Amino acid sequence: MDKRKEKKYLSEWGFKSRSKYEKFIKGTIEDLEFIAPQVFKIFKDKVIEWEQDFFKDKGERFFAETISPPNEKLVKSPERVIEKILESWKDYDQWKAIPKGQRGQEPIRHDHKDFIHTMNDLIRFRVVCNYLDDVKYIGKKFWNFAKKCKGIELVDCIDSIETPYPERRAGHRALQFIFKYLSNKDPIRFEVQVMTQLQHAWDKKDHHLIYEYVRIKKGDKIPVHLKNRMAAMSEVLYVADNVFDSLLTEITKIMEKNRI
Amino acid sequence: MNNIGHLITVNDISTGKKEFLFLYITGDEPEGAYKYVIQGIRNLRLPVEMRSMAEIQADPVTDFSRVEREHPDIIGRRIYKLPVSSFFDEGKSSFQRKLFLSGVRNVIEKKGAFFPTNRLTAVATGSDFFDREDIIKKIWNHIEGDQNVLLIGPRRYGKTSIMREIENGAIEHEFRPVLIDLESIFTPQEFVARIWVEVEWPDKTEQEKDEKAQEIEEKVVDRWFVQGEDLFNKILKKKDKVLFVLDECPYMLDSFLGKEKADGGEISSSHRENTDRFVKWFREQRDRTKGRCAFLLAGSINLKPYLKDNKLDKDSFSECKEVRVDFFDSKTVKTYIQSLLLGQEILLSDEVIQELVRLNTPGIPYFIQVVMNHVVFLYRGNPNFSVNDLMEMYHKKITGPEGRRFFDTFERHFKRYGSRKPGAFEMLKELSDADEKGLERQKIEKIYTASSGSVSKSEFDIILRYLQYDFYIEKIKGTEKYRFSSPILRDYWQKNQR
Repeated sequence: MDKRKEKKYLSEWGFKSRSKYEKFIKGTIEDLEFIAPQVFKIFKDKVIEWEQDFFKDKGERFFAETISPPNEKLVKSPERVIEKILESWKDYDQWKAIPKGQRGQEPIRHDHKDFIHTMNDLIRFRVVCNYLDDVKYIGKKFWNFAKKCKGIELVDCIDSIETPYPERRAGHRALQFIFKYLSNKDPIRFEVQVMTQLQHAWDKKDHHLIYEYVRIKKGDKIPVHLKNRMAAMSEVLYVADNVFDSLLTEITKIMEKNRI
Repeated sequence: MNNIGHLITVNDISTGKKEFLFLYITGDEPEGAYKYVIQGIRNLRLPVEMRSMAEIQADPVTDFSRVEREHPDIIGRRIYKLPVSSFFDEGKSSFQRKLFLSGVRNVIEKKGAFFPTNRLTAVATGSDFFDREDIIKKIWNHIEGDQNVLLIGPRRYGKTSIMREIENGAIEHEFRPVLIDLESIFTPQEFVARIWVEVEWPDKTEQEKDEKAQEIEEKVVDRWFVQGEDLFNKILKKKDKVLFVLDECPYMLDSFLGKEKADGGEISSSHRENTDRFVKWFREQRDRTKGRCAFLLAGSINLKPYLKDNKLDKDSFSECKEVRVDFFDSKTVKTYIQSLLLGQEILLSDEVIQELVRLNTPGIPYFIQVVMNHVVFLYRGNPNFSVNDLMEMYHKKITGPEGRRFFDTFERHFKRYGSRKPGAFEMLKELSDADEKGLERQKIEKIYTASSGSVSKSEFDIILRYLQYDFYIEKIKGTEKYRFSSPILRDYWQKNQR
């Protein structure tokens, strides 16, 4: 975002400079550092428990692992929070500038102070699974868990694995759960993504090959054909995941037959 | 599954040495515990003297098994792995600042480990030497103000550890330390010879020192006071200021008085004269070397009533400032107990900790170490032991006959009361039965008079003072009652001394 626009928003919100706003954000999200590991632990322990249930009487293999973002950053940094808020305001203003009849869906505009209740991924982590079937199994467990758990509420689940074209936009195929942590006085939203190892690998590559440039507004410098190839790789890996699932089913079937 | 939490790094900037704690969340800690503890650590306001020397960091960890990758400086280092609630006071819903700060002090000031180790049979030094900062500070204030110090505290109360700390800090305070245990000095000649050797040949082996001392002792014979004076003259000419740290001064005087030989009987006049001459001479040397030599004298009985009682010059130590080794209060006892436990990654319930604090307050380091040594054994056998198990162990292994060896030193000390021993014995017997409520002074006096046959009020006053100075008994505030100072000693006395 250009500096003038940023300054305009900040001044509207009563902050003389970005550093002053950053200080405010830092104070607002300070408690998340202590909530995040507790939430993370709940899910990590649950995934281990579900894994044990899954493998009852079966041979073991890698199943799933709950992992934090790089450098243990379970909580979004204040700088990224500011960027996201500013971006949402810019998107909203652009949307509003479109004549009423031609506007698409109203974008979310995060309140500059109350963003904590609308931003889903202030706390975020990932469950990486071996097979697509494992992703689905964990997904189901999440639904049931959220129903029973008093301290956690399911807000939304975006399934980009089953989303058909043309709705599906390019990116990793994952289950994206948005939960609310109720044990805090002020309920906090957090995001848990469940995906396969291959999709996780794709995301890692996309992050520095494409996403980092898009984030700093240099994405348009990457030619479309390269972007397309990157997106296609996600699909290739999705196909690979499906093949691996079939292999697993068939080989397991054969081996079970042989055991008899 | 306890692998999520914060890695705490305590960095000694001056040496680059780091100590690590991994404080993990269990999921069932009290509400807010995690936040209070980590924020407490992050916002910890260090005492001024440590501020420029210490750096404390708290970094989140979401998978402890990978911690070495994120924090390579921990590779090969010891990490205390503890639940975050170890530093949370549930009753007050707050961070246990004192407990954490004592660990930081161990790392930064004592250059040791974060938690102390239980040095039951040895003199505690470095980070194993717990608390007592105030006493150390007080002693240095006196010494630096050219005042000699009389450190009063019975054996096993941490006196020798304090003296060692002073010895270790001497160079920093621009003193050359000379530490001598006077208990093994039996004559003034030996005293002079030992000082001579330690001052002139500090780097020789103990055996060489003994041989040299023997040689000097034979030479000085009756001229010990002249030779001794010469020695102090030499010291006055030396470049360095000397700090004499002399332990068990009254025991040495006992030997000079020939008390062992007298075995509670009359002290010979020649012994008394010789001792009196020594104490006066020693005082002269201290006065004359003021500003160049400092003396830290210690004794497990108080010198002032001792001099009076033995008819020695009462002013011979009057220039010394008294510093008393006090008991630990309940807060310090709790911090010490928790530090010893956490150092071994032992977690006990609040109920058991409270009971341990009750048993050990007022706190005597030695008794705490005895109890905690047994607690560790108990824990290794059954990590979920109850208060009942603790009490069973306490009565059986500590205050019962099996624990007799822990109290040998007190019995030995008690023998020093000479002819007053039977009366004192009866007093303590009755006081041990009286529990925490204690007994009225009048009643104790009656007990003493009945058992010793003495009707002198001053005699009773002396023994009462001795027992108080020796930390056996204490006056209950706002009353005329007395009781045992230490519940452990009381329980031991009740069971074994009848």
